[in-house]
This record gives sequence, structure tokens and C-alpha cells, in this order.
Amino acid sequence: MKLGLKPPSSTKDVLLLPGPWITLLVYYTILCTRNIESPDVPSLAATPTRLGAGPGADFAEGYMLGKGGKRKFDEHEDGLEGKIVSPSDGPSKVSYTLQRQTIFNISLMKLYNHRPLTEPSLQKTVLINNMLRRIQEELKQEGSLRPAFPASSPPAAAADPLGASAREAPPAFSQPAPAPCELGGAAALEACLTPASLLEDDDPDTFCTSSPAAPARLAPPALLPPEKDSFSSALDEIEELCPTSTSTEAAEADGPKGDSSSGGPGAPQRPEGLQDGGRPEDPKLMDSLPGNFEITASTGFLTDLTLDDILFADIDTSMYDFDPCTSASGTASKMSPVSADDLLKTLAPYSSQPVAPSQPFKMDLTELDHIMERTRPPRRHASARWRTQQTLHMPHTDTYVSVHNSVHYPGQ
Amino acid sequence: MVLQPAERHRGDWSHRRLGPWCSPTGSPAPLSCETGCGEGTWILVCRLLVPTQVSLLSMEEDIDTRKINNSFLRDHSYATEADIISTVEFNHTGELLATGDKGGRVVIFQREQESKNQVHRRGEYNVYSTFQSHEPEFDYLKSLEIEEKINKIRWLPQQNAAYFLLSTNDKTVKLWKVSERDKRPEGYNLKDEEGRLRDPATITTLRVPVLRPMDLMVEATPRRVFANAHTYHINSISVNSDYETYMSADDLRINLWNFEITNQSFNIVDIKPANMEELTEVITAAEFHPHHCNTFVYSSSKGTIRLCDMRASALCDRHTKFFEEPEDPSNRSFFSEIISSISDVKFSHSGRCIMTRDYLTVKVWDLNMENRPVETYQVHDYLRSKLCSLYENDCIFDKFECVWNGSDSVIMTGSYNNFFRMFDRNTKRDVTLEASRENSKPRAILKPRKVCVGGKRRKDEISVDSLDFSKKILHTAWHPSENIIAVAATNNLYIFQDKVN
Repeated sequence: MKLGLKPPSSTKDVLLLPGPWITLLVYYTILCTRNIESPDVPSLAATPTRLGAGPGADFAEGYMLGKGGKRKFDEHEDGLEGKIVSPSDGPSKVSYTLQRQTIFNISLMKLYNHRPLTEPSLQKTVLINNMLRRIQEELKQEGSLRPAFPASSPPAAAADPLGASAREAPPAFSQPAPAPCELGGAAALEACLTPASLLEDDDPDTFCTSSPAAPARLAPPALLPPEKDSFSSALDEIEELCPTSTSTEAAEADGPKGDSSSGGPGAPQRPEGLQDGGRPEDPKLMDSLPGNFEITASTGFLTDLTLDDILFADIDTSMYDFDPCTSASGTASKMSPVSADDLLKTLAPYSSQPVAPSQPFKMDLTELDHIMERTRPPRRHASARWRTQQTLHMPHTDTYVSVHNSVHYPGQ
Repeated sequence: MVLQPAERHRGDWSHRRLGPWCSPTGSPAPLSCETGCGEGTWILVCRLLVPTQVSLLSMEEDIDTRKINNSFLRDHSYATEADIISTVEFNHTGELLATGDKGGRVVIFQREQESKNQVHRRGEYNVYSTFQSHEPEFDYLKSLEIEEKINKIRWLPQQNAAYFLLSTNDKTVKLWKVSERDKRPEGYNLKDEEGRLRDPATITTLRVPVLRPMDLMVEATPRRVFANAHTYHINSISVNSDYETYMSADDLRINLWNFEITNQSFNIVDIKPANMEELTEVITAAEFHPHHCNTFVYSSSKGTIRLCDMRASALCDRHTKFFEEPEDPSNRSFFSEIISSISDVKFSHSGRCIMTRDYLTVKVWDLNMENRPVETYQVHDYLRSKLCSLYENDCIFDKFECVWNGSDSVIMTGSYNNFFRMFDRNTKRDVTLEASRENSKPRAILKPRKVCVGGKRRKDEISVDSLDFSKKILHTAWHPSENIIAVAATNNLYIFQDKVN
């Protein structure tokens, strides 16, 4: 087993690995090969062509393993340079965000794809949870400035509005911004290998040369625009594959979110179909959670809300309420303090307001924390939401299932 | 708490016969006879394979264990995952070496005795005893299996002819007695030679049974089973210097046991939060002080070590000393916390220092200085740029162990690609050696290895990308008084000795 995601040269290599992670690595292998073999299957890999110059393109390509095409880093860089202060900041910020997102996804997969026959290691679970919490905190800090951007986020917008709104942000942002950036900085560039290593392979020079400069030149205004672009574009991309809200909500949504609902009609069927297909897995996955901590699904709870909060916070999230039992239109005005679904409905009306002041958003974040403390989502919704996430990054869920079933667990 | 055994322990140390390179007083001693550890030479004594099921069957027919070690198993890859060695430990004299594997088996090797005929065979270890210590269990409440993998083995000091050791899996600690039997009584009155009862009516004379020699038989019996005291997975056990108590540590709690009492234990450390969602730190290792029976340390997943004094209170939640090194801001990354998690903590034999192993470094701390370690050794710093991949393939969670040599002058720990590293604390030199099958000829000299970290790769160097991360050396042991080391590489046990001219 070597570093990097080369498929194992023989099954013997795979079997030498610790048991439960054979699933994960074999899964990665299959995912690589499937993506290469069947380009006609709709997947995230297909979308970059539509998004074109969006920085989310390399997010998708960087994450979707095995995508053979050259990542559109040049376009990305060009797109950024018009906005940010110095070009060398661009790649480092994006790579930091990408790496963070990558690590976030890896962490989630570790927590949820683990099918242990024995109890999973508490130390590993705690460390992964701490990682997720830290990323969540960072995103929360950065997310507190997101409301300033919706009006100016379309890439075509002039640099001034961005600069202006960015300048509004610094007081709230000054403290946390340097920290995660320095955190990322040089370490992020050299540290990330896979799947973001695919990014590095293509443009090693760009990353390496910018790394010494990155920690030194971190300015909050410079940080936010590229991050918002890459992140929101990535989110937009994710949106398109997800079940989206009705057209009325799409109209309310901001610019970047507008295109997110275009994929609406066709989408609801997909996750439900996958949900049906994946349902046999879900009880097992959810059952594995109680083994982590004594309080059941605390991990799942944290992660579920992390998902909701981070990925969909500024997007009309009611579209994720594709559970047939709940209302199709997510714009509920009241918030019932019981389920995460309702929590998302709370966020939905907020997120559709452009240029909202940061106060209500922070208040909602506080409420979010409060609810996180108090409640636990019903398993059904949790699995549905997780399924959505799984859909995004693992389009070939059926492949995943079949791979898992065919993997031989070494006797313990 | 009895104090004399500690004194006695120290006394025994000086009476032991020691090699010229190993002195108990801690004075500087070179790693080898010649110079420092850079030029020291290590030779392979023997490579042992933990007997698999196949070999156990053949052992019944053929008792020649040496033949088994040297020929049959060596050339065949019958190893299954159950044979992966999970712990290695020398006993207090170094005569016995115990290994535990993932299949719940304990195999004890004994050192070959000196003999005039075969002088060169001194130092070889052969199988002495094998027994199944733990069986897989099933927790019906959680619907989860309890692995039978032996997490730790600790020897008790020898107090009579039998040997005692503690072995533990995730949930249960067992005390095993390993004893030899080489005589057997013969001449019973009521039983005949096969053991059948004789009809009393046929007995006409009486005789006194006599002990006659028989083939050496080593039998292992479980003397105590300490169960049902741990909700989480036991990661460490440590025998106290009073030889009456020991502690077992799991992720959140540490319990103190008396060897004689199996149905209760004292909980001395509990870091479980009231709300499990607030859990951010777990206990990773714990050990008693080698001489002070009231002192112990435990390490955490956040890179901290706490020293506790059991005299202060019954529940040692408040530490006496807190060892933590401030984070280096230039090295911060997403993985800073994970790589700072301490995987092993060991007291030095003198009791003045502790050594901790985290993912990339080994640190030596002076017990009197809490704010930073006195020495830090980089084990494989070239992995610092690969942390994301290592996180993805879970290698970043590997728990490497570290060991002191008998005189506390050299420390050793494992790495990937079957490499292991030794650091001489006095000369500040280090060496990387490989435990591989290619060097498996007996008395073969180990060649120092080097990992090239970029730039031009020299002939014998190996590049970081060629490292095999499935071959990791997590468990090593050092003989308490001589320069003999045992290195566990998957299912192979390598024994190396410092070359004596």
C-alpha cells in the first residue's frame, strides 16, 4: 500500500490492511475505475463543463477521483485575479478551502462508512470528531460574513462591491481569519495529497511557489472573495444535483443560488430512488453509531447538523426536505424545536433574503448551537440527509453497496 | 503498599551480569563496543514466526521447535491475520520473551542456554510455551464482537519457580501462570501406571511414590480473570512496583486492581464527561513509576501527560504534574491534533524520565520539568507533508510504541516499511534499520537504511513514495540488561543482537 490512490496491485495488498478500511479503499478503487469507464453516467464529473470557469470546477474534479481531464486551474486563477489583491493568494486560499473540504468529506466518510464487526476505536472517533468540529468552527466563523456577499457574489460583479462588503466584515473576521489561513498556508499546500493531491500533481509549481508567500499575505478581504466564489460555486454545483425547491423559492434565492434550483424537477426522484436502494444499509450504519459513544448517534447528530449548517446554510435548504412525509415547500415560518428539518426550514427563509445583516444570521447560528445541544434528528431524516450527501460524492451508490457486500472481512 | 520490593528490585539490578556496554547507573555507555550507535553493528539472531494452526499440529508430532523455527515456517506464508503480532515483552531477566497476536494467542520464547558445544547459538530464542489466552466474545447488549487480540502483556517479577504474566484484550485482563513440569510421581498404590484405579483387594504391598524425571512440559494455566470492569477498550496495563497491585487503563478510565481480588477494582482516573458529546480527549497509555508505587502517568490524545499521586486522593482526577509542550505555530496544520496524540508512554528504568511517542516524534521528558520535553527526536519527519494521505488511509492513527534500553541511553521506536529507529541520547546519533526477509540469514549484519526526502536519491536510499505503509513496526522490545532487541513485523518476530567481537 503506497501513498496516493493507486488501485492496489493485487488483492493481497488490500487484505493486508486493517479490516473495516478494506471497504473504504476498495470503494475508492472502484470509484476511480467507474468514473473513468462510464463517463456517460451523470455525475459531478460531468458538471464542470457546464459550470465552465467556476472555481467549483476544480473542486469537483479534484474531489471526484479519477477524472482524467486537466483541471481548469488556469481559468480558476484568471477568475480570481480580478477580485483578489494578489495572485499568489488565490491558489493558496482555494487549495486551503479545497483541502479543508476534502478533509471534511474524508472525515465524514470515515465516520459513516465504517461497518465494524467490533466496536470502533473511541480514540479514532474522537479525533475525527474534533477535526470535524474544528472545520465546522472555521466555517461558522467565515459563514458569519456570508450574508454580506449574496448581492455581489456573481462572478461577473465588479470588484468594488465585493471590496466594500468585505470591508464590512473585517471586524468580525479579523480574529479567526488569520488563524485558519495560517493553519492552511504552507502546511495546506504541502500537506494535502489526495484527493487534492490530484490538484498538486498538475500544478506543483504554482502551489509550491505560492506557499511561502501565503502565510505572510493573508488579508481578510483577500480571503473572503475567492473562498466565497469557490465555495459557493461548489455548493451551487452540489445544489444542481440535489433535489431542489420549487421555482418560487428559486426566485427568492440569490444569484448564485438561482441556478441551483434549475435541476429541481428531476432531482427529487434520484435521492429517493437511491434512498430506497440504500435503505438496507442505513439501519446498519445508524446501528453502528451507538457503538461510538454511549449516547447514541451523538456523532451522527453533530455531523448531520454540520452538513446542514456548513453546506447549506446560505442556500435555500428546504429542498433537502425530500422526505415524502414532510411538506414540499420548505418555507415554513415557524420553527419547531424538535427536528433538524425544522431547523433547516428556519434557515431557509433567512437565506433567501439578500444582504441580510449579520445579526440575524448570528442569532440563527446561536439557535443552531442551542438546538445542537438539545436535540437529535430522527434517524429517518438523518439518513435521508446523509444519503443526499452520499449522492453528491458517491453517485454510484449501487456500486458501493455491491462492493461492500463482496468484500471479505478477514476473520477476527 | 510495601516499599521493600522496590529496594530489592534495585539491588538485583547490580548483581546481574551485564555486557560491557550497559551500565545500570545511567552513566554514558556507547551503543556498541566500538563507538556510538552510528557505527554500531546489529546482527540478526533469529527470525521467528508465530506458530500458526498448521504448525501447532505439526508440533504435536515433532517436538523439535528449533526445526520448526528455522525451516518449516520460515519459507511459507501461512500467516493469516490472526498471526499478526500485537505485543512483545521481555520478562525482567530477559530470559523469556512473550508475544501476543491478533488471534488471542500468547507465545513465549525462551533464550537458548549457553553451552560449550554451540557457543554461537547463545542468544537464540525458541518457543517455550504457547497458549490461547483470550477467545473472541460477543457483546450481546451492543451486538458487537469483542476482539481477542492481545493488546498488552506484562510480566510479573519472578518470585518462585513459575512465571506469571498479565495479558489483556479489549475488555478482560488475565493472570497466567507458566510453569514447568519435569518430574512425575510414579508408584501410586491405588492407581496403576496408566492411571486406572486398582482394585484394593489386589493390593498386597505398599510403596512410596517416587518422582521420576520426564520430558519437560510447560503448562500455562489462567490463575485470575479480571473481567467486567471496563466499558471501553483497554489500551494499557502496568504492574506496580509493590507487586501486589496493577492498573488497567481504557479510553476513559483507569482501574487499580489487587492481584488477589478479581471481582472488584478501584477506579482511580475517570475522564468521562457527563455529556458524551463533549468528549474531546481520551486516555491513550498509562504506566506506573518503576520505583514509587504511588505514582503513575497517563497520556492523552491531545498530547498531554499527567502524573498522578495516589496518596493525594482516592480518585486521581486532579493531576500532580501536567506535561505539555506548547504547539509550534510554524507547524500547524489540520492534523496537528491528531499527530500530537501520544501513542505510548514509558518510564525510564531509573524513573527520572518518561518517553512519549506521538506520530512523528519521540520525546523524552524530565519529571521535574513540565513545560517542555528535554529531548525531541524526529522519527520520520518526511511524512509531515503526507499527512492528508495518511489521514485518508488511516495510517495516521497507527500507534507506535517506544522502548528504552537497559541503561536508558538509547531509545528505539518503529516506523513504516519495516524500518525501526534507534536514538542514542548521549551521542545524539541515530540509525534506521530494517527488519526484512532479505536480511534473514542468521548472523547477517543489518545495514543502516536511509530515506531520501527529495532531491537526488543516492543508490541505497529509498524515496518517501516507495515506502510501504502496510509494513509497519509498531511493537518492539529491548532486553532489560543486554543489547538484544525483539522487533515485531506483522507476523514475524525478529531478534537482533549487538555484535560482540
